[in-house]
Amino acid sequence: MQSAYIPLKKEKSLYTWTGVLLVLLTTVVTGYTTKFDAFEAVRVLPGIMDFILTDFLPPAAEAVPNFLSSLLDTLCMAIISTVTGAIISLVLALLCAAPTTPHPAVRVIIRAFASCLRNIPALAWAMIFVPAFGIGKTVGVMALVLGAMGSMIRFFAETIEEIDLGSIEAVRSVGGSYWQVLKNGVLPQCFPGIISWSLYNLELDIRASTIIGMVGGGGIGFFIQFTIKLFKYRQATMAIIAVTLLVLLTEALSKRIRERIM
Amino acid sequence: MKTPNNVAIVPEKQKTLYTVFFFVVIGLYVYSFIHLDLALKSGLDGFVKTGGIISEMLHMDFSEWKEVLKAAGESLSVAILATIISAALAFFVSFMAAANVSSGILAWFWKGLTAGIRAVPTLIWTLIFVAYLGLGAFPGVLGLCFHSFAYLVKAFSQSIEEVKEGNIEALKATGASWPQIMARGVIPPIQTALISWTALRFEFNVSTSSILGLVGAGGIGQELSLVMRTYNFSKAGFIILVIFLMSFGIEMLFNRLKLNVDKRKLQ
Repeated sequence: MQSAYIPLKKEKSLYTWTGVLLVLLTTVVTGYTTKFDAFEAVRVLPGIMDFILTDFLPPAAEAVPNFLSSLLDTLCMAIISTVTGAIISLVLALLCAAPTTPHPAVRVIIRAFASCLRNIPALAWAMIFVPAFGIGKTVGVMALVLGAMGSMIRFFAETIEEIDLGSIEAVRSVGGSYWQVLKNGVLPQCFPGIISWSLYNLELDIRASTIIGMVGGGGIGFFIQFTIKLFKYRQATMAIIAVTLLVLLTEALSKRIRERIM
Repeated sequence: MKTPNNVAIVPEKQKTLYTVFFFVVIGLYVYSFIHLDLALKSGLDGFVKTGGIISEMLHMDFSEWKEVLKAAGESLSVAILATIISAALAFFVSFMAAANVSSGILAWFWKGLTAGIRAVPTLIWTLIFVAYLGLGAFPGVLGLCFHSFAYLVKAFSQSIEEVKEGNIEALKATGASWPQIMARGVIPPIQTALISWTALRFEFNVSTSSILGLVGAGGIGQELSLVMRTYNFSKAGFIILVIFLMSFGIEMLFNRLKLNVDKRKLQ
């Protein structure tokens, strides 16, 4: 027994050391390509801390009236993009998920489409929309909808694929049509999952809208970038705190809703 | 359930809950539309223009492929380096931040600090670092590191807190020291979770690193914002393709790993 155990352990430690070596090698190579200097990083850190502590703090409370309407814009943008995205994604997810797809080809096409949406960052979408729609909230909403769809199609389809197939079978066996299968067999089971993912997406969208604003998508992100560029750092801090509070609020609210619905 | 042969699939109470929920959502939705007053009337025109831009993008201009690929390599390097550094730092810090293996005040301090860092998006951290250090990949790595570190500390320490009390208790009873308890009782059960979280964060870092250039942190994002500013859509098309392929490739790679963590638990 002892002799059978030893080679296994040796093999395992060989794997570990190869792994460690590979990670170290990658660190060196990437450090070289990015010209990253660890000593420089340690050296500038106190300066950065000082910069953040003295220039960004304390937050300027008097800036609140300046961005309150942008904050409301951000919330509205997140709501519109989540709901719109969720509705379109639900339809596409039903067409794409294995138990409900009308044809395997449709499945492949929708998956590819979702992958395109997901892997091109929302910020890039916003940049494409800015020349067409002009700077403003419309661009922000459109980019958020596309970004939201990318991930929601995938999550919804996964939710649908996880359901208990017995209930589909049951509705079918009593002669239910495709719509009846959807209405009575599929949807009741996946609603909790869909709502949960949508709420998660709402939080993500509120966070994302802070950065969408930087490329001309409106909302609080525009205010944050604008104030940093004008060196009004304390106002930016206040705006960041306000967004954080908004996110925490939605987080708490969506947790309550999830607990009630699930 | 009104009559025995009319069995509700969804319980009656749940049903009212759903109805209320949907009406609230519809109300908020309509209000948001009215409040934002989106330019949907002129929207059709915008869609036509977008179609034109996208078709122009599809006529990709590969002429500067060397520069673009080099920039893509830089972005990828930034993502890899930031992930390695932040995972290594977070690994050590997470033991101090986990309530079950650390002391109360220490855990509270690290949790508070990392929650504060996480509240600020990566792009804004990078913007701050660019403001202090100037343009280039260096502030990009630091900005990405900062946020990844805070994220991974939370993820790792949550995994540590999920370790069964019995494991730690059993080792304590044998007189093991703190490092021995960590090495034998805490790390082995959470090994896969740690790797999964790091991989998940790496996926996120790759897609983020490609847009860091928009705030002046180098890489492929810088190229993109440059050509978009000059309305050179055919070059932008190629750059977006490269960004897509990079993040798609990583996604494919990690789909095979089957990351068994629930993202919704943490942001």
